[in-house]
Amino acid sequence: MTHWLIQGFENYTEQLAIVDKKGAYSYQDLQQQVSDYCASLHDQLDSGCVVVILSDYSFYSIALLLACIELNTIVVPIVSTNEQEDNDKINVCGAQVIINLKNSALSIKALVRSEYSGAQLYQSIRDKQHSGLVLFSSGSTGKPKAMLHDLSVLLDSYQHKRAKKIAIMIFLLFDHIGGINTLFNCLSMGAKAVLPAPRTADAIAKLIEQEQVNILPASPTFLNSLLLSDVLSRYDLSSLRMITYGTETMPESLLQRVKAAFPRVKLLQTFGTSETGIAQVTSRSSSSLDIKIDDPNTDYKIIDGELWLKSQTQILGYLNASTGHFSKDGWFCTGDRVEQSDDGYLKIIGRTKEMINVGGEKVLPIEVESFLLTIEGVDDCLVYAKNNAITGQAVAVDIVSDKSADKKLLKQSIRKQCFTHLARFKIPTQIHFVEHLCVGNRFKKMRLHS
Amino acid sequence: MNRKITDIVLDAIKSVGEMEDKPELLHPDENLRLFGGDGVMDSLSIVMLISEVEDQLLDTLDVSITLADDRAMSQKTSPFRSVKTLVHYISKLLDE
Repeated sequence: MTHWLIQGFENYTEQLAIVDKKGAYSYQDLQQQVSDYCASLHDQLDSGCVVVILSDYSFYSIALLLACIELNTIVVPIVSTNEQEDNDKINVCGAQVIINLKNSALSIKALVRSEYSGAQLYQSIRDKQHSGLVLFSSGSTGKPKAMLHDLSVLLDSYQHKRAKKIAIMIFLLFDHIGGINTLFNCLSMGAKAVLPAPRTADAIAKLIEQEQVNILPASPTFLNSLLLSDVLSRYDLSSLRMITYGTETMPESLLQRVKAAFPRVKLLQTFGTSETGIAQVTSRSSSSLDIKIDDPNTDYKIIDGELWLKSQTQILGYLNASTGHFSKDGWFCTGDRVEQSDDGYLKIIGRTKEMINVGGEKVLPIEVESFLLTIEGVDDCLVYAKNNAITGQAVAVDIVSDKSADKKLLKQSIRKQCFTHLARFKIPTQIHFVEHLCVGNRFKKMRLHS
Repeated sequence: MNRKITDIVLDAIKSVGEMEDKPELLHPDENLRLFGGDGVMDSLSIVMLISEVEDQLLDTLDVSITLADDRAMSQKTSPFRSVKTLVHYISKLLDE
């Protein structure tokens, strides 16, 4: 029986499904490609086998992913970083088949494994004849953790979406829960998925103009680079109706600048974790960081200022770690610090592990960053903890300055303004000027580098 | 050399004083007690001062040193007690 998602393509046959750098493809093309892949892989991929797809987003990789779903396999999408990391991931998930995509052609390598420690976790998916999905945590500290989703259950949360004739940019990657979420949203609504390459401010802006993109999901770091590259004066971005932001905490001041630059665009926060999937949330307004978790599949609670989630779409477990941040009764500690207002809205104010402890006083980097971004001459900044023998930790900041700014004067001005606006312990003692910030391949700032 | 270092430290104290609006830091001399006991600075001010001194050593003398580390804390006499002890500690590090 054909999976409901692929079956649904019949409602949109002539409409464009995917635009990538090679061309534009309709839903009919996509359905045909999925069925071709199914026919050629049917004999090689047993139901329940673990298949690595080494590729970034393309029409063909999406068709292959869907074919793997149709064949009830356990899919492991990997966007190649380097050979060592790719191999680590391949071993951790116990891959049985590796498929490398070169345009439409599949290069298939079967691996023989006698024993594999994660096999028990896979069994629950095989017993139900479901498809599975393995994602890796971004691993800012230590080895990436491999997480197993029941893909059939995850997909079912997209069923019954209303058809929408819109174009959506798939900004996040093929092996990221946010990227997967945008893709499934797109395909379940019959929307047009626009796949960017490369993901630079200019390339994305050009693509928005060219493909008349209506929805842009992005990280705050990327939105800031969009504003700094002044793409608004060079491209017509009037097709944009909505910008969704997530994956890292949004500085309040940046949100206001994005709002001012795109006054007619709705700004909505997205929220989710690789472990629990993306929750349906509503923002209080385009200029507000307050969100309400409005998801029948997700429960939440706040313990000691930290947000805990329990969702129907959460992972079955880790393949290479213990229960991690899950409690015995299945609650997941997100590591996000939140404030709750009287009317039930939540505001995410930072990550617990990024909190800086200055002589016992706690500093959340985002608060300091948000203020620094309002100072004339500061284009972007990254606040992090620096070990200090007197106060345990001290606040340090890397600053990308406006090229015309005199750095010495700017430093004095930053210190002075911080002193009048921030509590003393929050003032950065070390200010470094840098060309670029430390931004990971997930378009997030890396604060845990010292 | 000691004169140069002393000037750097005194300048740094003044700029911390200006920033924090503390009159007692605006006219420092070599005998000024900084941190601990009857010192004029608390831990946040001294951390700011150290960072300012490190920056100025880099700018004017082109040397990069870390002043607030375990070694500094394990000295018999705290380098941060007074202007004199701080200057002495810096010149000791520069001599190495």
